[in-house]
Amino acid sequence: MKVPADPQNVVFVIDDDASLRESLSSLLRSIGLHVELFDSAAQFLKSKRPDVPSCLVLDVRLPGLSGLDFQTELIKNDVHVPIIFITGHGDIPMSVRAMKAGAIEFLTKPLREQDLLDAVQAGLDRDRARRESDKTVTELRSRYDSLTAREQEVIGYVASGLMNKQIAGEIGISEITVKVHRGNLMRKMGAKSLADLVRMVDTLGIHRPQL
Amino acid sequence: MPGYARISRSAQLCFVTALWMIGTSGNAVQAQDRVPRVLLLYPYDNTPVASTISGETARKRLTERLNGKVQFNVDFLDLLRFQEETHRQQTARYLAEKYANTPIDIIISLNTETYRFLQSYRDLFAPKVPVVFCCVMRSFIDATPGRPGDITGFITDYDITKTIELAERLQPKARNLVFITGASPIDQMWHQMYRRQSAPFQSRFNVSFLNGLAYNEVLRRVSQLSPDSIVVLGAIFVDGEGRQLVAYEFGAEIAKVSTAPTYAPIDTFLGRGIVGGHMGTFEDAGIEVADLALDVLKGTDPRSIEPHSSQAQRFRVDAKQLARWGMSEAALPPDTLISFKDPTLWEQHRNSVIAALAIMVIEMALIAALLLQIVRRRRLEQDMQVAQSELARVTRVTTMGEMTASIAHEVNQPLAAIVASGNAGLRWLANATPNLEEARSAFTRVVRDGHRAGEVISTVRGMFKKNAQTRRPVDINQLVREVLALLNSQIANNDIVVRSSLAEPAPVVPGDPVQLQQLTLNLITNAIEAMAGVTDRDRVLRISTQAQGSEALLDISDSGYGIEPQHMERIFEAFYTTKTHGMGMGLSICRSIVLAHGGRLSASRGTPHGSIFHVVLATQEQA
Repeated sequence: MKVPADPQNVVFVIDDDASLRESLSSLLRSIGLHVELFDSAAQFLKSKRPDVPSCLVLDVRLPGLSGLDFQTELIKNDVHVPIIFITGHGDIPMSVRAMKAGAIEFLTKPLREQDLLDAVQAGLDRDRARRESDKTVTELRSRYDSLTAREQEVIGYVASGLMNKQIAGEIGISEITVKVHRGNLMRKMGAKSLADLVRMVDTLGIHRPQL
Repeated sequence: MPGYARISRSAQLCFVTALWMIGTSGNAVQAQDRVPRVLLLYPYDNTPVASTISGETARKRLTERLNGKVQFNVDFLDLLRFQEETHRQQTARYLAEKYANTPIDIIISLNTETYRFLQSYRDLFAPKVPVVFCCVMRSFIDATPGRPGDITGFITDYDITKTIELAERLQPKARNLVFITGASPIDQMWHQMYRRQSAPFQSRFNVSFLNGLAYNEVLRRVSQLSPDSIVVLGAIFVDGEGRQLVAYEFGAEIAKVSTAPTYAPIDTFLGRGIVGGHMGTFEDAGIEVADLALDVLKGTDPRSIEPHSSQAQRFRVDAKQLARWGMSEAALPPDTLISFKDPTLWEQHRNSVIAALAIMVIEMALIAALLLQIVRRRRLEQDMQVAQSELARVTRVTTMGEMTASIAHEVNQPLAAIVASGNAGLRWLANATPNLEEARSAFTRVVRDGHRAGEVISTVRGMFKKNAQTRRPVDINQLVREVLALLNSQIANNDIVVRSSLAEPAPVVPGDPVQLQQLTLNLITNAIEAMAGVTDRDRVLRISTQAQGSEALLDISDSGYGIEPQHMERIFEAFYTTKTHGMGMGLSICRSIVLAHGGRLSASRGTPHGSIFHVVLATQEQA
């Protein structure tokens, strides 16, 4: 089976044991996943990774940086790849720490095939969802950026549910002008209703002034 | 005189003034730039009798009081040996010549005889030189009137009444009173005095006088006295046969042979056999007369001083004689001075006793300090031992844990790879179009990783063999004791009874002490854990050591539920465990250790319960 040149997803495996690395690769490939192997965290960071839904199978016991510290490092660097930890002898505090930091699963070796495949699938799904959500925000951000300064000023009041008259009073312009701004910004943002606009404003994290 | 060159001018002035005053008082002392000269007149010779004691004391006293600024001249008149009047005259003339150019400032007379001599002849050799005297019997003063006014001093009242009073207290049943005196004129004076003073006692006692008898006669008579007699001695300078005697020596002789207690009012007799008496001391008499001489030298007119009684008199007894006659101290008058008491150990060796006590106290203090230190050190040592045992235990357990963790990881990696590869291979084959190439490489990895896991185990075994060169003699009994000490709290917490029977002498094997400790620790820990669930019987841990030929046997048994027969075959295999939380490495390691020492490890079922682990180790180094 040929690996697609432009994969729909990719599973990264970091383990210092070449044999285990290859075995995991073989197993994951056998169900049609694209796999990339690394023998250290440093190697992973140096690599150019495809911008597709992905997840990371990470051995807790890594030479140099430990798996858990590596996880912290990734979060700090804004790398949002879901992590599945594998370990020879995991203990509870270790797994709790990993899960709190957002790990998908904490599996002990030898791995149960199904546990691993389920975890990998979950990781990919979560990454896919995150990517889509990220995409939406980016789109909204560019729409918001296309608003004029006055429209950006008005949008917060509109989203707060204020009437045109009130907004006019607040910022010292005529009610007619407010009405024009409102129409423009609804159009530019692609909001079908006021409720739609409120959701967009919240997604973007724009402040909604309350009277 | 170099000594006087050192006197300060003011002191010299004072002294000159004092001498001038003496001069103007009409005495023989002239206001001259010299120290006072004292003439000590001794009645007899230089044998240490009463007068020599008084004289010597007086001389010391004056020297002391005048800071040495006094000069003494001494003359022994020998009046006992030569009693004729011509001797006295010759002596007086001799003295006159002797002191013609050496003026005397004061004369000290030391007893009745010198007093008598001075009364007659003073003006021949020392006219107008004042005389101070001591120890003159009152009876003599009374008997010889015409004392010149510048001859004065102390009269000794020989109050025999008080001496007899003392005797009556000590001998309440006494009926006879015997007085002994000698034949010399002074002895006769004593006899007269006794005769006079004994008059009041005539009614109560048969009074008799042994006066002027021969030496042997006196001794014969006193040796036949009845015990209810009181013997009073007086002066005995010459016996009835004209023999000159030293009074106290004869007194001692009498007291020795007397069959009744003897008494005397004379202190030179005390300590030589008499029980006691009412008496002064000749030392006190010397001091009295010296002080009087000082007064006169300082200008007091001797004519203004009437002779008076010596004050220093009291009851005195000899403790040894009280004991000899079985007399009680309780009967003595209240202020009696008891002499010659056998000094107690304390009195005799006061300083030695104090020193000895001090040394003992110091020694005890040192011993106490040392004991304290020892106790403290022991405690510290114990604490340290506990800490060391704890450390050792932790180290063993940690080493054990780390080792098994490490082994587990090393074995787990290939296992994980085998499982993953196996799963992958199956999936490659299960695909709609089976990928045989991927499947083959997956199964190749399975085989490879299987071998890898086997190598890990060999490595573990090799690890133990590697340490074979660190062998040294290990005392198996000691080993057992150490491990039991390590597991002490665990044994106690689990209510386990330990029954150990250790062979004597202790079997000793060549080995690695750390590994053998690990072995014993593992086996005993296993035994303890095997009894964890036992509630219906005692939890008994039996440990025995034994020497058998060239082998040492160590058996460790428990009273647990034992090992099922089907497990028995496999318990020594690695990763085989019947415990919920076991790694299955313990017994495997144990066997590796035993094998590395060229020994054998086996297990058997115990009767009626539990299991027994048998360790057999060679007591000789294996080739």
